[in-house]
Amino acid sequence: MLRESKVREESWEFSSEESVIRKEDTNMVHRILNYMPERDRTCLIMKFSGFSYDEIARATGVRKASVGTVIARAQARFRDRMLEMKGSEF
Amino acid sequence: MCYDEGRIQSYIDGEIAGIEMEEIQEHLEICEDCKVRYSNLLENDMMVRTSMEGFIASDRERFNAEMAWRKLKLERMNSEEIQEGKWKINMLYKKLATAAAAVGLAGFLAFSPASSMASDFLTIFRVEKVQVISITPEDMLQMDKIMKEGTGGVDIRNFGKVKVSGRQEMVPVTLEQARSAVDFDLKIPALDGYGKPDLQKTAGSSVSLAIDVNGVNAALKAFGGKERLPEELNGKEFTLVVPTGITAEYSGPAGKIMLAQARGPSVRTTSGVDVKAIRQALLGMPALPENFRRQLAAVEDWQHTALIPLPAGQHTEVPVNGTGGIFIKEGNGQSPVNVLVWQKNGVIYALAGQNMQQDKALEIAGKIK
Repeated sequence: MLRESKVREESWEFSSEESVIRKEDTNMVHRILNYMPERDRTCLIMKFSGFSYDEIARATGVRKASVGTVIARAQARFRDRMLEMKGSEF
Repeated sequence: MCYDEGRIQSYIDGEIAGIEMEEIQEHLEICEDCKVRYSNLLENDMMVRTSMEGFIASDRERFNAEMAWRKLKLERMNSEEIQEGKWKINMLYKKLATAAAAVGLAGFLAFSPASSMASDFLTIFRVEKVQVISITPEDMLQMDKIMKEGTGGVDIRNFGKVKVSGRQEMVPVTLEQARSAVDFDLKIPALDGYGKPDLQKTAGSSVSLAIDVNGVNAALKAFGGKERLPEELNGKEFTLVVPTGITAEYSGPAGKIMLAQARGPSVRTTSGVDVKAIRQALLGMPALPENFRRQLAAVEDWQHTALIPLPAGQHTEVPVNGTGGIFIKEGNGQSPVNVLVWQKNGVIYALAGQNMQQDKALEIAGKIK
């Protein structure tokens, strides 16, 4: 019981700190998405909003069988760009 | 057999089920190459997920705040606004528009989710094709009555707050202005026996409805529907966006021919709105004329289909440039205006002409590729 409440306290502290980090991240994400081709951007936004490949395919015109590839590559570029931006900040 | 990144990504995203999923699972245990590919993709996925989920959550708040701030130029939608003296085809459009407004409910049933980054984070329902549903005068009357008087004291206006922005007014433009006003490749064909067309632009406009769940549910109840909309939908905005359109008007000895082109209208809503639930609830209303409901429910791919309600027997479905088109014949007046409507690459074309027969319409349409 005691242990449980301690954990909760800690995670609360963590999340308030995290929310500050988040604001910076949000701007960065916005910038990264802006640089992406619209197709990739839509795929990522839809994916993380809970849309299925089928729906993504219909919205973007990408063949359903290729959605995975588009997402995989978009995510790799997203990550590279994110590391690049983070690297330049420090 | 090894799996490429697309396949492995599909596996990570839970898009692969059954035997294939098991096969991939087993393969990943024994194949070093695929295992490396998998762990790289998974790492990317987790990193992007953390960023994207935070972004989407915060963006939604920002979007709501923006909507509250945004000052839209409000104007009452007025069907009388279409200028008098405009050519007869406006009357036809007006008739279509009135019919569409009368079955406004159907409008919501005709669109479905796709998504775009176009403006912040929205779910967008874009019309990709057109389909006619026939409507009898009795249906029309019934719908009209519901719209005007409501049923059991329920007023359609209680469905929520409606905002209209933009004016559906036509202004003359040059070819250059017309081209830059739209984001697609404008088609202005030369027609034998006709001079250069006059071009007009109809600026885009939008109608928003901030849904009032209590009002809608009261209506659903009054109409005898069993389904209810969930509380979370309260205040959610649906916006019907009608993009800018260009109309080319050709004059010749045989009368006039008009070609209108515009991106398909779309309905936008904030993410997380369960549109299927709304559709179910609306379709469940016994007040919908049965004939009408049957047709609505039968629309395949309702997600991307705009419905044009027309009196029975006025149209034929014809192939146009490799896609489905609709040829609409206007009654038996002195010089009836017939219309051919089709959709190609996200652009909706409407070709109208006095006494224009189907073969002539198809011949002209053939020049628009």
